[in-house]
Amino acid sequence: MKSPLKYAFLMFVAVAVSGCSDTWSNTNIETAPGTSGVAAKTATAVKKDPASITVMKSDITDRPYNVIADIEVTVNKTTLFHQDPTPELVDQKLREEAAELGADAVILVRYGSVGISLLSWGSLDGKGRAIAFK
Amino acid sequence: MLWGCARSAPTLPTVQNDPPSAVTKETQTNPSSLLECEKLAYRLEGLEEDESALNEVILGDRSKNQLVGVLGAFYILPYVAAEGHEEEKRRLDSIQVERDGIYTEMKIHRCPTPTR
Repeated sequence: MKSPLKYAFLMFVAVAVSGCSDTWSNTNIETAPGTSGVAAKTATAVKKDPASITVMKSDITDRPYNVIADIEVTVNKTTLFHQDPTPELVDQKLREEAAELGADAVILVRYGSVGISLLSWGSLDGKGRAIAFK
Repeated sequence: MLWGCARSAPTLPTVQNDPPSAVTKETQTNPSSLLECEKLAYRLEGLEEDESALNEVILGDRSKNQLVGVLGAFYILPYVAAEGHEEEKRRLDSIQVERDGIYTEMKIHRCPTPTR
């Protein structure tokens, strides 16, 4: 009797895991401290292709830019059995959000550390500043 | 369940003034500026290495912490076996603050944008 139940449980887990996306995410966009948010309103008129957005950990030190907004994304793995989220996934999410804002790049990108959160067995947080070149 | 928790990404710095719109050839080739830029780039490299080492330590216990998390859902006792790595996380946060300071100095000295 135990064997069919065990088999059914394993099948349920396999179906549940295979049917879900590996990760889900949430995003928070804020006006960067020290700015008025005017650049954000101008930039949102022109959405960009995410593939064209540069994502970098450093600042841009030799070219002027306008700050659009600060972006925070959290990528979560769907179940305990999925792979942990990676910085590359966070970068991709930052690109998508920056593209919606009409940015040219996301700078000053920093990551948290993967760990358990209230809603997920594996969460990775990332922040970056969306900018547009002058 | 405080041990093994995700660490949030460090806060972004306040917006600094933009670099000047015309970075002259003179400022870019000034020997003291170039030397300063080299020193800053070297410091950045050192911070990158420290950061990688600390992340390896934290990730090294990830599987164990997940197992502890699962077992802890049924029995509280396994939680004491989880590794919090609070010291490493604090050090990672301070590395980011140092890094942000270096970027500010790089702007002042009009250094080329770091490649990473």
